[in-house]
Amino acid sequence: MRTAREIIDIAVGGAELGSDTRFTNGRLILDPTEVVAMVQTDGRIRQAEVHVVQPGDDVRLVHVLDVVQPVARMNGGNQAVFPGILTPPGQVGMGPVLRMDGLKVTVLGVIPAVDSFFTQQEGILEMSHRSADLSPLTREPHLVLDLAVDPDIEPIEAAEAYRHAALRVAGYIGELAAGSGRREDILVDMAPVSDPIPDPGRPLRLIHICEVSAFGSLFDTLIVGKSARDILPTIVSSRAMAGGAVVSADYHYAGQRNYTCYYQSNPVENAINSAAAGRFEFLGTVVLPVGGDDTKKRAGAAFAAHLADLSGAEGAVVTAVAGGNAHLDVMFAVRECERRDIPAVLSIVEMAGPSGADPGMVDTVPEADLMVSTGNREELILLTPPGSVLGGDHLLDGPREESGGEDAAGELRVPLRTIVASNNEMGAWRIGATLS
Amino acid sequence: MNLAMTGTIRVVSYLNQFFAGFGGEEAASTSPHVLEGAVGSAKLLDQLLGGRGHVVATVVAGDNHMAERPGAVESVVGLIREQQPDLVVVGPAFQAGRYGVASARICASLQDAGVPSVTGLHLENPGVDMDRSKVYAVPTDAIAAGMRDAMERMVGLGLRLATGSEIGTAAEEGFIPRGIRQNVFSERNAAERAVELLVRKIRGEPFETEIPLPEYHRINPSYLASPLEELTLAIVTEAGVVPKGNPDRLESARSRRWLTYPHDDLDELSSDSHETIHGGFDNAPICADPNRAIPLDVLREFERDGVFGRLYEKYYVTTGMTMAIADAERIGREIAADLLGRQIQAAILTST
Amino acid sequence: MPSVAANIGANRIVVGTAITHPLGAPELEHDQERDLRRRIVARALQVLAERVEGQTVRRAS
Repeated sequence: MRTAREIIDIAVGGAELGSDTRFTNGRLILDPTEVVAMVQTDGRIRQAEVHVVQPGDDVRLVHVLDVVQPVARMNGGNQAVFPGILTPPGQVGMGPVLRMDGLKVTVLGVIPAVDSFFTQQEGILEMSHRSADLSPLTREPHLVLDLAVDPDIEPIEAAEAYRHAALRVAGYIGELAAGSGRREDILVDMAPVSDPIPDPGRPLRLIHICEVSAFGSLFDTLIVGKSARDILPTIVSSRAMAGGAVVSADYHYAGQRNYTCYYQSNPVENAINSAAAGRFEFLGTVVLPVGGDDTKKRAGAAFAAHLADLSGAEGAVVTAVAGGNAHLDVMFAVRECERRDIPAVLSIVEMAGPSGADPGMVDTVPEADLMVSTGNREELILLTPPGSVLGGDHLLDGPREESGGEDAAGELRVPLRTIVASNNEMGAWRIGATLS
Repeated sequence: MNLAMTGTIRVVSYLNQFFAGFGGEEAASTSPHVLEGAVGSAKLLDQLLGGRGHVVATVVAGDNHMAERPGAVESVVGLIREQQPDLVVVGPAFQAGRYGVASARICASLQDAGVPSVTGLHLENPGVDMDRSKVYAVPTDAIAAGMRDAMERMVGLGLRLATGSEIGTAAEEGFIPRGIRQNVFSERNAAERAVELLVRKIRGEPFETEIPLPEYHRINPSYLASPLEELTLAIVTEAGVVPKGNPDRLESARSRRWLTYPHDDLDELSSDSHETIHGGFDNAPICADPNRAIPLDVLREFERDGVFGRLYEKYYVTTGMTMAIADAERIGREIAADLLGRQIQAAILTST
Repeated sequence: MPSVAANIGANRIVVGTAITHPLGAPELEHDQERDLRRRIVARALQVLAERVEGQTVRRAS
């Protein structure tokens, strides 16, 4: 039975470091030595610092790799979240998920470049009021894991070590909330809810086709722990998503990456649910991995639209990831939806150059007559020097020879795509480009 | 300092021969020159500035002179800049074609020089498409009956430009869209906007896309002038394939140039001799075997077998990665001109 | 990406293998790969000589 109680959102009223660890009255207190010890059970992590940053803090985070939402499974064992990664894949989507709202676990670190293509791109997040409007992730506290791995390990190993650290801590905090003495309240609260007062007429059934990175290596997505590369589109329930069935392994442009927290708490689903109650039914998320060539792009797009059709979708929100050739997959997906009489809207970033004068995308289809812009990622943004910096002393080398190595504490002039989640194509933020 | 408050804004007006009162076609070859103060329709401009600024000079040139004489725009812009203007008001040109094109080119050149300028054009004036991204043009009537309205709009926008005000979108400021994508904050996030628009689309209600589909020009196919067996063929690629070590430091992204490299002594490319520096994809497969981007090995076979006449001795290369469209179009024109100049009748373009 | 080429107005388009290796296939043996490349280029030469009417997209046989 589908009820809103499949996911229980717990509001976090605040977070701080302390001498012990507990979650009481909606506030999280964390003993940093405990978190550091947990992270360092992974021998690949050589250095670990833990910080809590608050909205408005005059702090700049650099080398942001991923942002994760703390979660727990209500009837699972310890940390039965992130299936295929922290727990066996067989538990995917089972049992209600407790999701903590108002706190993020954010991991900072450096992954050595695999080659000239697969290199981690710089990600900056500033909590200060001066730049708060550049990112949706400045409104809540972050538990920041500032980590460094053994320099001798392979890049893919390094990425995995950082990822596991963030997921493990997010699962641990989720468990704290689940075991905080409020579990009974939560369980009582789980009694089936009475249906909301329906709109006159049946709710409109909407689906989300969500393109995900699938280039392998450092630009990838894990579905139940498995690389999205070379897999066909698949449909995932909100509950499975909230429990961590889809996890980012993508370290491409920070502005447009889909952070794990957006798979866990999907902006498209949230938009559908926040509209008038009973007007819409959210059918789920069709995960569409970027195809490596034209044939795979067309096949993936057609299959994603087929899944939407099979689900009874009456409309599809298609969201892109990355730019360049990855935009073809979503253009084809829009076309395939329209062919099946499923009206579609496309949410997409623009690559219009620093002046905004270039066309924003490499290709379009005539069916893409309705697009929402998540902004021109190339606009240059001025960041004034912050009070403090976490994550490193110098910016990562930019893609190719464009930039890199700047003093992380200094004044920066960077493309918008360097700012964490600024251009997120799942639609997490309010920036968009318009004709001028 | 707010210039508008001090009334010191120096405005230069640019007019064609007709609006400066020199006459019609008979004066259309008038060469550029400077007149002190406000002349012709610049008098209305001075009046509408209402003390917030003054027309210090009027620069005049004839339509034919501007259309036909090389360097005419540069000399007009030079004369304007000598007056050290805070703002240049160009035209309005209404629907007059030569005047509109000259006005747009003058504004674009002033923009490059960092001098604020504004013009007025009818939407169907060919000047609207000239250097569009660099020109602030207010929409006007087709004919000069709309002079006062056009001048009022130009003064309003021009003063905002001259005083360094933050310029909003085309819709907010009332200028003709420059084709520039400008980031703005919406009240709602993109997901919420997407859902609302989608519902309109599903219900058959009117909806407006946030990103209009781009339009490209169509070109009719050309045909070989001689049989395949007789022609000279060239290889052109955007795959960033260069001699090992990248001697000319071809950019891996945002390139603005093209290069040629000889391959007439080679039967094939190899990882010892060539590599790609293209930054837009995992380029290891092409580095391992550059024939995967420039198929020299099989082209030599076809050349030996007489399938086509001869392979031109050099290949043409650039890097097709986040390249500005204007640069891409220019590079295309330059390479095509070079090919034609060398009597090369056909080219194979390989693309990643 | 044939659709990109078509969208910007190319008139003779031959479909390559992949973005990362338009005229090859690293997973094939050397001779097989060369044969694949030969077929793509042969198709390109063929369409070059054709009097195409409007945009034409061809695949190697």
